[in-house]
Amino acid sequence: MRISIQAAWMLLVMATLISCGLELTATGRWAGPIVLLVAFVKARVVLRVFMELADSPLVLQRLGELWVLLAGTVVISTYFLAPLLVSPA
Amino acid sequence: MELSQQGEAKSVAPQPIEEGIWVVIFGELSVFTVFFATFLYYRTLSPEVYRLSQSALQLEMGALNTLFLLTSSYFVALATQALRKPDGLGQARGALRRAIVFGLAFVVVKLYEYAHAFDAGYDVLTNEFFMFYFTLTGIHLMHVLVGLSVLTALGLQIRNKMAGDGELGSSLVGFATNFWHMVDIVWIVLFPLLYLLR
Repeated sequence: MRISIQAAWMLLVMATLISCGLELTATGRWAGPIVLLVAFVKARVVLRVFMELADSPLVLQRLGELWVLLAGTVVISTYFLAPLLVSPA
Repeated sequence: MELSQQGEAKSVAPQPIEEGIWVVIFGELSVFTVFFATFLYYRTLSPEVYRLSQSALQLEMGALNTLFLLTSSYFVALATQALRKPDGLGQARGALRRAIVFGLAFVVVKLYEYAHAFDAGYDVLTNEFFMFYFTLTGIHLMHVLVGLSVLTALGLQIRNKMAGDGELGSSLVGFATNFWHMVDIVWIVLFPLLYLLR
């Protein structure tokens, strides 16, 4: 589904405000990962709409998707796995 | 957007961009990803220090800066679209001007945050959190300044072309616009890491 850059901007602004609200009000352990996931969804929107990867050659589209997937996985995995790697005091 | 013969809007293919630009873009994004993961790992080692230090940051300033960069990116995207139109140079220049204004607003807010932190006695040597905070946001700020310089150079080239003096290089257009969006993407991830995660 293609969206205009105006719609993308509104989506990004709303996602930012929701992230701020979520992190300030939610206290569960899933608030952090959700906020990080929203960040990478936003990054994907910037890549596909503002940077026009959605209309670019397939190899660039795949590269963009790959970065979002890998970077998102690395960051969110680190959030969950780091406490398991840290030795108890 | 172009209109087909039936009057339906269809997307316009982006201008061709040199492959080297994408190497820079994704290379930078990958380096920052390593920074992000490193921050998260060390955050686990001293959670209380990080939590208390984070509370000294001004969340509203960070959120405002996020909105500034998103809006700036929006205007850069508008400028890119305008540059494809035969008579779009004026519109592109106007959009670029707005993008630069929002980018400068980001810089002003960031410097205000730094001044506020220094006044409160925090600096890069205070503790690990602030070492990460000043280093990561400092590196990002340098990218913002480079991005603003390149956008300004693009704006000047557009002005010269409008005056009939000079050509508009597609390499500069591609690099300036996509570098700026890359700077935006880095902040989109950096903001929740530093300001939001509890």
